[in-house]
Amino acid sequence: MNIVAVVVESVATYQLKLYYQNYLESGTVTVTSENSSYPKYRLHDRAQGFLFKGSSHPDPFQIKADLGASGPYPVIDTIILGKNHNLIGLTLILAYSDNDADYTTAKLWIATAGINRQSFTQAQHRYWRLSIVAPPSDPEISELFLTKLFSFERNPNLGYGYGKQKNVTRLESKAGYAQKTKWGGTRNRRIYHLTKMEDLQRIDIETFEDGIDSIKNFYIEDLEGNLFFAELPETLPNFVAEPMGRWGLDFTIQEVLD
Amino acid sequence: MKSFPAAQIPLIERPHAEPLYFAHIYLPGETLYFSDRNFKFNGHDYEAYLLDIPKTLHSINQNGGYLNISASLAFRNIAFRSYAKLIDFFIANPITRREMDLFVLYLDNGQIPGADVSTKLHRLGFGEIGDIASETFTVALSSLLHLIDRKKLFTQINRTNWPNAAPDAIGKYENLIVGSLRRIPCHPVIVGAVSTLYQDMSAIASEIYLSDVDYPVAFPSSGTVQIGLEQITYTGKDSVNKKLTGCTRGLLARVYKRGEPVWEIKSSYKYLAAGQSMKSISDVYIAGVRVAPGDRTVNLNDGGKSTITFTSKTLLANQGAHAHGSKIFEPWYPTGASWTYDAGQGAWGVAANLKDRIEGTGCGQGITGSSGEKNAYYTVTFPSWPGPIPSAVYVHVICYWDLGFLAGEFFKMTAPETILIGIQGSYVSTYMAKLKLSGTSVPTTVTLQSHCDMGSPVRIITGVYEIWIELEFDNIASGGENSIWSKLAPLVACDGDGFQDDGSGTYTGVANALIENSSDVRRYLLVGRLGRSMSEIGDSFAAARTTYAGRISGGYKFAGILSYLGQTPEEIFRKLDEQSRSQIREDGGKFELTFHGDSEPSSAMTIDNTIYIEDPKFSQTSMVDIKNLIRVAFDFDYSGLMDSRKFGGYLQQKEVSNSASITKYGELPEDTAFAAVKILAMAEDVANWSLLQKKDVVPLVSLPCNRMVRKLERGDYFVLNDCPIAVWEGLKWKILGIKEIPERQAFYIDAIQWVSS
Repeated sequence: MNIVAVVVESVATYQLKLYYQNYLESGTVTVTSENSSYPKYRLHDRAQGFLFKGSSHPDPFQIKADLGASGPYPVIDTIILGKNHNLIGLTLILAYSDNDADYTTAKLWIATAGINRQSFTQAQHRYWRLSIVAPPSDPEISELFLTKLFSFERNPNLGYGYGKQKNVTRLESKAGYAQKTKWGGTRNRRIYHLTKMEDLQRIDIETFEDGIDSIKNFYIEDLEGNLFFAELPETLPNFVAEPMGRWGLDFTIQEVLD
Repeated sequence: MKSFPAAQIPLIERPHAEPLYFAHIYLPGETLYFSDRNFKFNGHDYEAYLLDIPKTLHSINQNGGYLNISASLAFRNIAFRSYAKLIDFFIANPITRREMDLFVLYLDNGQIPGADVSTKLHRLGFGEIGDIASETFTVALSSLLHLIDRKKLFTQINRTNWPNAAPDAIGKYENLIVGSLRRIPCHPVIVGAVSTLYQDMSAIASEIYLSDVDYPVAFPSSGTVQIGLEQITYTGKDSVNKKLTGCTRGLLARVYKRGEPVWEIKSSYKYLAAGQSMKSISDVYIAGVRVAPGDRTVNLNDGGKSTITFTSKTLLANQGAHAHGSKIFEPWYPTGASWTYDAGQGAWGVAANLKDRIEGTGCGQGITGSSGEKNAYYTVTFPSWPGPIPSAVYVHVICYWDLGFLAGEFFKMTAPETILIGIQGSYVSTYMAKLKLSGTSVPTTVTLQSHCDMGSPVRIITGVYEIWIELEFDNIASGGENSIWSKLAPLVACDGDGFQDDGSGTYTGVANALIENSSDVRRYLLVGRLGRSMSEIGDSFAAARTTYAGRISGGYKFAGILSYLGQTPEEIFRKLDEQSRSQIREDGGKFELTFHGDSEPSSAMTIDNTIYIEDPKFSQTSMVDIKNLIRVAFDFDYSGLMDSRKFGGYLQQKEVSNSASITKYGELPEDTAFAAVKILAMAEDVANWSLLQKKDVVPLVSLPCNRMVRKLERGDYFVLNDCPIAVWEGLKWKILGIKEIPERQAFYIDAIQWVSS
């Protein structure tokens, strides 16, 4: 039994991490320049396939969010640059300000391929600005999340589903000759089983679902450390009441294709 | 057979495949690159504004023939550019009747290839938007042939473009002429106004009250009109009281009765031969009578149209030739008279008697006792004729003569031309001569001459009582307004060549050549008249062109007036196909043309039970469609000048039959007509194809197949194995249609068995 317990602890080393808020949505976004066919709202349209494109590439190319004249301002500790960007190898600087004049660097990093997630010390400020240093061409960005890490108080139990959603059809000729067709890529799919949750976690999950309005895509890092863009393929089912005033919930998370 | 890039074929024909569909949507000034996924390919960002293309494009036929498709494309109704919803963008930038190309790209391991190895499946048209919801909407799709079917091909004659057109020309299509054609009916587009007298009119009236002055063709504010034979100039038009004012009456002023037709005199009259610039116009006919080249002016590029213009003189002169109804004979009397005679002969009467309109008074010569040859001359003079050119002119003479003795005596008219009245040896007491002049000019002088010898017995030689002129006119004034329209605008026809190639020989390969090869005609219609791009013309057009040229002596050639084939492009293409044993279709975004030949076709592929996914379903063509006697009427009489209409309007007919079929079923005729064919050999060749297809029932098959048949196109042949009907095992079948079910990567084939003889 002790051995089993050790295994459980080992799996639970990882924590389910959600990034479901994007404060660009609640602010006013300005960009150095904009290609009208690839408008700036695509930075926060929660679709990694639809690109924002600048129409110039000065040094630096800047994207700025004004979260409004009146606070309180949200706590922000993470920036996520979605995949499908052309910033690989470029220096990116995230800075904040309260007067739009004096900026403090929150994070500086060199962009890599795929999703770029960068964490930094929690901060609450009105202005947030991402500077792309010396871009060689007009910047292309699919998604830019200015967000805050959300972790469950209690992680899903063993027995959760881990796999991929395939999109394959099969057709068989009269002689039994099979033809299979693949429509699009495969998608990560997780079926989580939560149990013995206290009210506080239930409320957290309800808050998460409210935050995404049951329909918005979000970033998730699963228990194995895989970070991907995800959705709830179905709205969350009802919580199931358990003994001792606890709650249970089974829900599915699925990767969103580009 | 559809061709795919070499790199794609293995990806299509292996058991597993990853198809990716995408569309290029063409709007004015820009192209939208949409798919149901987001990806970069061939320099474009394809965006996922489409919903599940394979599913929503369900039932795309390979659009052979003229059938429309039943398919729609579903869009994601999400933000697009500055628009909150894509539907808002399409309302501001309408997509209806725009076009798109649909492509397929087969992937390997999900990788988007760097080079463009996609295949264009179809060019489609967008119809109306429907099913508009907050998140989605759909747009109906149509085949390209269906889309262009509604395009304007013909221009109608109207009063905006031709304010002086005859009523029967209004609303008619301007001719569009293909090939070399004879007796092309031409539309009277400048003929002038016509009305009738509203009330009796005196010989001195200076105003002409009409039934109408502005309808249907308006009289000009000043000009010349004709009533009867009198041409009257006027200086004003009163549209309220419907009268012409400021009239100047001339020598022909007459009294006219209410109802008398009145028509405008114009300096020229124009007929529209074609609404195109024709290659040539050779002969011109008025009411079937060929017109001398000097009497008409042909303009092959009169603002892009072909016209024939007549002067009023010619037009009216020729009205005599087509002889409508009764004649009018108008006397024209002399105002001056004189006579002279050689001295030494007898004489009686005075010259003034020649114009006193009394038959018993005149003047004349007589022999006296002297000798020698003597002459007498009777001359009357007329005012210049102020009326229209008559159809014939006669000189009337009331006279007598006695030329019975010596050789060389005569009595004749010498001016305006010489016409013998009396010859030596004849005696006439009182004679009324009616001398028809050879021309239609009205002379101002008429002179008679008599010649005799005084050595003969005393007698009276010649005497003349009266001389006057009679003018003959066609009675264009009879029958009221309705009648004179046709007389003022008689049927004009011409022989000529229609559409002409450009200086580069774009359609025929020869600069400025006549476009008549049955392939060239279609290509010209698509590109030159319907605005399609030459890049949309498939290679099959060149192959068909060669086939047409060698099929019969001189080759397949179309000749006809397009509007007689149909009023829409679809109708016309359908007729052209029927009349040339061919099929036009769209495939891969291009127009393709197939000629139905006689020799055994090659097979594009073999289909067996490893390919079809359900049992083939066999049937036969309908029993009622069996025809073993094909009767084709051709060489259409477009003008009706050959008086063929009462028998159907065609000048030639050909019958072909199949005796074996007749023995089996009895005679089962089919009557058809080819308005675009004038060549007997061509009509017969086409009829033979129809006979081959219809002389018996023919097996049909409906065959659902897997993706392996993707390369097949309408018109391709395949061999069918694993056939449940043993005698049909391994036979060839011709594809009539393919319906793609993209979501299953399946294809439903309808085919007909190839008939060898």
